Amino acid sequence: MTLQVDHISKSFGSHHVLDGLSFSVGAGEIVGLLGGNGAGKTTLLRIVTRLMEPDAGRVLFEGHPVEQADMRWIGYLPEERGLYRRAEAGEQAVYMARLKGLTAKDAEAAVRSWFDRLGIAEWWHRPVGRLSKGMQQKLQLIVTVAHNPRLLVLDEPFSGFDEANAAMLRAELQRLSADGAAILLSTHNRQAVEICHKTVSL
Amino acid sequence: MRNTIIIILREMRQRVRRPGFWVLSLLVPAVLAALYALPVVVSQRAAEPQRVLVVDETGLFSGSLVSNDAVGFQAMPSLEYAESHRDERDLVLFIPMRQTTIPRDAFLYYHGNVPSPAVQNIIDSRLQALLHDAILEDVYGLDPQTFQSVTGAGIRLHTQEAATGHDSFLGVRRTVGLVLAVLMALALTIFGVGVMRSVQAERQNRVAELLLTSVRPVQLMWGKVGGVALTAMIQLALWVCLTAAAIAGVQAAAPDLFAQARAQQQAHALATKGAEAMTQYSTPVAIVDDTVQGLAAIDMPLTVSMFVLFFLLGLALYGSLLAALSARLDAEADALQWSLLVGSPLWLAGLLAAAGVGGSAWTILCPLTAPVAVMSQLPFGLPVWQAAASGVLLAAAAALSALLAASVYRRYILR
Repeated sequence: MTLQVDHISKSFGSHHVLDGLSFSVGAGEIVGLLGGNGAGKTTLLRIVTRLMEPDAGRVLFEGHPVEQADMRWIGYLPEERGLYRRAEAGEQAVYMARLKGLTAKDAEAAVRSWFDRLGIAEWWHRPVGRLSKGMQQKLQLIVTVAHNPRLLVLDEPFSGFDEANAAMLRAELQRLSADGAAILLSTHNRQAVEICHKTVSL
Repeated sequence: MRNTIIIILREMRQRVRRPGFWVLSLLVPAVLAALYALPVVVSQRAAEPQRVLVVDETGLFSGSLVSNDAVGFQAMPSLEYAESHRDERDLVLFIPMRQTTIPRDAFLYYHGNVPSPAVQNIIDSRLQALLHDAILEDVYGLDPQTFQSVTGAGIRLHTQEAATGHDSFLGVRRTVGLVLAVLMALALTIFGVGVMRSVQAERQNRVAELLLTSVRPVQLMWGKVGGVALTAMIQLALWVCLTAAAIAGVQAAAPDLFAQARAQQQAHALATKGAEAMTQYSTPVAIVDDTVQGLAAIDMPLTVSMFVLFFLLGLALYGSLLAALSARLDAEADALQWSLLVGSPLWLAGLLAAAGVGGSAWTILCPLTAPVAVMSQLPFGLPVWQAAASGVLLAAAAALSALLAASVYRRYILR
């Protein structure tokens, strides 16, 4: 299993958000987290990506407790998208890929390939703040996947996408899954659920 | 380490690319060169001598007031005559007759244009000198020149380190120490706030959440501090080189202007000190000689190296403290107010240095005051053990504060 969530519990004060949650995501599998606002989807995804500590339970990546070094193989798309607005689009994606462990040369090659694939190659030098919202979302996706992760953790990936871009994203996720990536995503989007191999309700 | 270096280089590149960086890098040397040249240009424009019409009812002064390049004295028979013959810029110096033989008051009348302090100084010192001469001759029957040769025989107090027997030029060292201390406090405040604002920006544009899945908070913190420090070093180097070039350029553009100004300053200094005991030791030339010798006695390469080292360590300490503050507080305005409190030990050390008590062991060893205190004491020859202990303690405090800041950062940045 690429990811195992094992009896995870998390509380904020007296509010129990997660209570002994367990599930797993295998290589090539897409798992959807479903639940209303405040159900704990973002909290769980932050625990998986080590941004938060659980009160109890553990998260295993490829059979061992997830560590900092494993983050090289994990791609994360946060719910609140975050990019440097003044930085150039291409440069920013290369920077993020390098922080994931790629060399400058490999990072640039990977990012350029994704820019071509998503049809935004001509916007390489444009500052992020001057890109349209759709372009920014594509860039955010590139930042998440450019380092060729084995596990993708996506928090509301379809949020804010128009229909055409949502379809493009679904196709890309299915392709990544076919290439062997394990994908854990949270969503409210019914069409997104259709591409999931299984769902976990919170 | 690899990721920290990547972050450092990105932070530096982003800052150096901003137009503001280059505007400041060019503007500061231009302003400093202008500040250097402006007084000279202004003094040259005001070089036209100030005419002073002297109405001396006592008869003690008018014949003896000697004109120079700055002030031209002209005797007048009466106040009414002076008023009717004066030009708009002219001053009228009135010394009224009194019952006693020693005049106590003199009046300088002006119309619209306020006399400059330099002109007032010259008139005042001339009057004092002549009055003293008159009293010496008339009241005590002494020859003023003989008297001056006696009182002018001054003793120059040399401060020497007993072990070496060489002059230690304490005044010059004190001034250099104070300038370095103020520069350090300013640089740490300005660039520390730079780190703080960088954290605020990442918090606001939500990049922090993404970054923290790739790097440890402490790596991110060191990367930010390192990036700002590197930018600071580039900017300081640009400021020093460009300011030196700008001042050299200004001097080369008008060499006569500066040579003339220098000669005038010396003449003016001699004129205003006319009544004092002018010894070979208190002339402007001797003072300049002392300054040059004093500066030469300071180990400049060591001083610059220590400045860079303590700036980097100080920025690591204050940068991480301010970054933690920035991550903890929601509003940027709150963070800025707190930053004044966090930075107050630097200014306390600066005040102690200005008061001449900056060299106590606790200010040098305490990490919060060390960057400024060490700089203020460095020109006096800080003992090696104190400098080393101070550096080690500062480095340890910086490492601890980075860990603390990283913990605060991780805990609060996602709120």
